[in-house]
Amino acid sequence: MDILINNSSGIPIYEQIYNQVKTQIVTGQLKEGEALPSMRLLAKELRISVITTKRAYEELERDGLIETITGKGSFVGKQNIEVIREEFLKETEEHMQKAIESARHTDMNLQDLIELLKMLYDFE
Amino acid sequence: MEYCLDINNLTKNYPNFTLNNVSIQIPKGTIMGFIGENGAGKTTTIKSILNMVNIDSGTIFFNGHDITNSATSKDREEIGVVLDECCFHDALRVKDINLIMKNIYKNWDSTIFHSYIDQFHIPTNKTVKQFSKGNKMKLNLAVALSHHPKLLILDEATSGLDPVIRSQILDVFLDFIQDEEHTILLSSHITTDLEKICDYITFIQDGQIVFSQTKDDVLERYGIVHCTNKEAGQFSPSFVINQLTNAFNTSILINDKHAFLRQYPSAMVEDVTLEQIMLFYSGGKQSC
Amino acid sequence: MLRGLFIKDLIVLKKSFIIALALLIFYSILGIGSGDLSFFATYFVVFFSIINISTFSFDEQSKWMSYVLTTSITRTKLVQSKYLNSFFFILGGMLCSTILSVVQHLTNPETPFTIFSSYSIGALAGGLLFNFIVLPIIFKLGSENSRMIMLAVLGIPTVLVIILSKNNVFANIDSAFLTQFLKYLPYLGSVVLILSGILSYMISLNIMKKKDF
Repeated sequence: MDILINNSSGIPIYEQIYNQVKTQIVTGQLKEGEALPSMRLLAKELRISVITTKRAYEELERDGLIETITGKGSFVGKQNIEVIREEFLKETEEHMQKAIESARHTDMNLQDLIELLKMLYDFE
Repeated sequence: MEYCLDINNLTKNYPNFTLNNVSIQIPKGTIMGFIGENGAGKTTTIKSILNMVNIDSGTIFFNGHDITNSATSKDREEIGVVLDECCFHDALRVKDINLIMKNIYKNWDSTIFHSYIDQFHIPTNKTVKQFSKGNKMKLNLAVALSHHPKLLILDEATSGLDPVIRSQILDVFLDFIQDEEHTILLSSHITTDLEKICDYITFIQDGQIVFSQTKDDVLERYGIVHCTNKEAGQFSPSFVINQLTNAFNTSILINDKHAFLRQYPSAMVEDVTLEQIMLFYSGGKQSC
Repeated sequence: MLRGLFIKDLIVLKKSFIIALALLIFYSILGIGSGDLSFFATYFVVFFSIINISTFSFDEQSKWMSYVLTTSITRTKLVQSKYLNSFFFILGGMLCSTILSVVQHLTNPETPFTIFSSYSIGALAGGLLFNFIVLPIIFKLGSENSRMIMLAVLGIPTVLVIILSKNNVFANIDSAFLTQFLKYLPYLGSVVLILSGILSYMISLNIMKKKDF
């Protein structure tokens, strides 16, 4: 599992962990049923408070992304991956809708729009 | 929630100082940072926990046992202590200390002790008299860790150590905490260390607890507002802890930066460090 | 557990013990063939009586006492260790003085061989009494402040004896009374010693229990 903490980003650390774990689950980097590192181990390795990692894990559990079994640890949950994917799809659709609306204020046509999308996608 | 240390209404009177109704709860498996100016009462609180002084009122429970003014030997075995000065005689060497401590603590572990001696690069062929200050502190720490304690209490144990060895020691603390039955109470002036590894922060001033919260809460909620001297007056006093004014601007420590920003969305608010919190509470000149 | 404290004191006092040993050898050599070594025999008992007191200043220098109270050593045990020290050290002193007597006897078979000469028993009792008086004072005031008092405890009886003997007080004591007195001294002395030991221990415990470090 990869976690990168940015101390000066202004985003609370527990939120950064939450976002990164969520992304890795949704993109399949973390597989269903896979064990996550314990909250304490994560806290130790990242050199942060165990309360921070606990909070991140609790939020992930609250959103159904992971399951924590006392005595065993935390594991990537099964069901809701599809739901999350749906969420991201919806978000992508919304962003695209916004992009189209902005484009209508310019002289871009559909082809230009597709070219722009391709350029930005490849640039990533 | 199980508390490792449960201190309630601790009061200790000295001629020139009073520790007044101090209450602190430290959950098991966590690291509590203890900050405050010199003379604020950190050492007195720690001495009270360790029964080095007789307290006037209040109760102290360790893992459910009442240790107020009297701890059994068994309880003491489970508490590892590092005070701010080295406590071994000048003439002793590492092997002497091993021999002595072996005969004091039931759970003394020579193997672990020697592994810490190696890890901290403590010289084994010199007497304590010849040790540098850093080595003395590392020795004390090695001793405190080598009798399988459940609670580690450190009073300014890392002052005087270079950043490299301090980092190593912080790692040792984090290792220690991997076991959920282990707890650490760490009093230190090096607030950056505390910001790194502590779960909770307790701030004491003039013998009274100012706050005792999770570190995340403290660093998330407190903030510093920068504004002109004229603007300073417009903010609601319920937010203001203290403000520092110079010729060109005013800085204000506020207690809830999210609520503050909702009320004054255009204000310039920045995140705060523990050191700044201490400085603002003491009303001293800040050095941002 | 007390063993740990005793070991610590032994190690810390190593230098002092080496000096004592050197002196023992020195005086033994000196005493070969010469007459009376009872003074030196007594000397050792006195030396060992005082050495227990010096462990206090070592402890204070290194802030050991504050620290050890955070370990499983309770205040009671700490007090016990100092009293036990005084017994063991003084016994050590008696051992040295016995060795000297043996040397004396071997080199000069005419001198009477007694393990317990009246000098060494007197010194033993004196040493113990000295510890019993001084220990509570040191527990209360610390070794720095107790120095003057220690000198007084040692000095006053000595000066008193000198003054009294100068004024021939001793010579004038009725010899019959003296014989009686000396006959009962061991029993009286033991009782006084035991009682003062118990009293001293209780006082020290009380002081230590109340003390803030």
